[in-house]
Amino acid sequence: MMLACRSLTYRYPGSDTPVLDGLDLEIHPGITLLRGYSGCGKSTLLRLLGGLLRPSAGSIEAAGFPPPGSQRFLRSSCAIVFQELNLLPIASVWRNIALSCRIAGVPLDDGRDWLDRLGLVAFLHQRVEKLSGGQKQRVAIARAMCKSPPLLLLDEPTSGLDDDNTRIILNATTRFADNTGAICVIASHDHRVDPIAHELVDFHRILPAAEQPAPLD
Amino acid sequence: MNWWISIAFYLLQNSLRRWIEQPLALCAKLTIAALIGLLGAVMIGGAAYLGEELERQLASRDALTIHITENITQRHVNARLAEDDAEPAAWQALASEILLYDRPPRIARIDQSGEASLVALRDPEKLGYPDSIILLSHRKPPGAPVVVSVEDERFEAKVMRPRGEIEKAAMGNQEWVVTSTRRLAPLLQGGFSRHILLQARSVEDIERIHEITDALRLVEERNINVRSSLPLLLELRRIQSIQRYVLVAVTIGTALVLGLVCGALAWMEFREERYLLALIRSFGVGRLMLLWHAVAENCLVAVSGVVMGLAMLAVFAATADLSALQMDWLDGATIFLSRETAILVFGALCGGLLSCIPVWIGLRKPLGLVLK
Repeated sequence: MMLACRSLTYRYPGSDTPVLDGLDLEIHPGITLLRGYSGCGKSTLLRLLGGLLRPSAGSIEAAGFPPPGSQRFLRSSCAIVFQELNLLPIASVWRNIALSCRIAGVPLDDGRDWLDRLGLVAFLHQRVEKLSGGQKQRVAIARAMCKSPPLLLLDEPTSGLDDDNTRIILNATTRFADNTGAICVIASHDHRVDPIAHELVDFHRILPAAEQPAPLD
Repeated sequence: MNWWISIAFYLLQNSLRRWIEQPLALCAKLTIAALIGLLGAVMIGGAAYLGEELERQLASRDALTIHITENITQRHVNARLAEDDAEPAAWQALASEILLYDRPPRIARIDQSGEASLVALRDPEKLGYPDSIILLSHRKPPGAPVVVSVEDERFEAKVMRPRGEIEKAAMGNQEWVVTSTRRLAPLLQGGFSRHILLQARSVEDIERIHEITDALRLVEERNINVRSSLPLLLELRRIQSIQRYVLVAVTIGTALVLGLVCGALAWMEFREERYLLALIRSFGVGRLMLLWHAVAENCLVAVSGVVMGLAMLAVFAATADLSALQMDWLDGATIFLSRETAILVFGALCGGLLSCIPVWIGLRKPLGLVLK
């Protein structure tokens, strides 16, 4: 299993400037951290890897996966945790998890296990609107991991979280990557994530200096 | 439980939440659909009443009765009297009732009561009359003997009432001295007029009868004339086709207005919900599933609105004094159970479907652009 970006270019509709321009990158099983300043294209790359966007030019080779973006790919091969609003409103924690398990075709017990690992069993029947930001993010991580996807994409999973919640999430991610051998790609500018990364992709080095923001004095 | 049942339940719950949180959008959809349903039902009911009333009026005036008259000259008498039943049978095929009789250019006189038409029937017994000389009369007591004189000859006849409706229609207020063609043959030798009275089943049959008589006139040079209400019936058909146009226009109008109004509201709702729908799609749920939900929701609302409008009309029809309002035609049962109402509901369904077009367009947007 491997993901490879070949001359990957993406330009948002209506924009002349590409967010990603000719990116070449190989991503192997384990945790890959995409690091860079806001707006450098980390999240866009995650969406491209998940098949939620189509490259303007170049390609993504996903060896061992169904076609990225296809229903089969999104149901069981890939799980994405967005920066915010990851959960279905007006539904309980358990309903969010159960729905994810049913769509992926995995036993509901797997969902319960992940809730347990992320310390959420006590909130099983609580509506997600009543959870704190950290708890919501943990539910979203549990919802993603319970599918045991070979590709896990996390967009700023620890952004705005306290150290306790961050530690729980990072531990869970490490455990998931180690146990399943999946490809985990994390887009984050939070340095607390650095220690768990097996590979680091620094967008500061990838992007030409002209496209990088000027350093603060 | 299948995943799609779970998703369907979730989407249903989400719709209910939206309706509770934003009742105005739902009320607007229902009210517009109800008003359109109401207006459509009144238009359809009015058009249907007009058509039915015209048909009723025409039926009461024997609009489907045709009178064919043929003058047979002396030269053709023997041939025409000797012909078999093929031609009457051909006419019979185009009518529910038929009366074929011959009339010589003579008048029968009845003692002390004036004149009567002299009529020869090919086979009186088939019509339930004896093969003798009878006087068909509405006025004289049945069974009474009368003396009939034709030219210088006098005959005894018995009074009978006309049996069939078609004989009554043909006689009008006259009296007929009826006998068989065989008996009356000597009086027919100088030429006679043949009358065929037909009760057609449809306007199409009347048109065919006209075509046949035209052909007989042209090809066989027969002196044949037809009297019917065909021009009036064709006008009625034109009115009925207008009725159909009204029906189609109301259906299309209903669908379009509902489609536009509900579509605009559905688009606004979709814009609010698009992140959630994109999130569900990012789990691997197909676009069709979400579209199916939008179709079901919009069709349900549109049809419910139209049915509410019809129910309001039915309640109005049941409680208001329709006679005083000169709206007798507004019969609640007719409005609810007619085929036209079903078409109106079908129009509402189409409107519901049309209103999903913006949603479909919205669902085609790449997920990554929504989930930013």
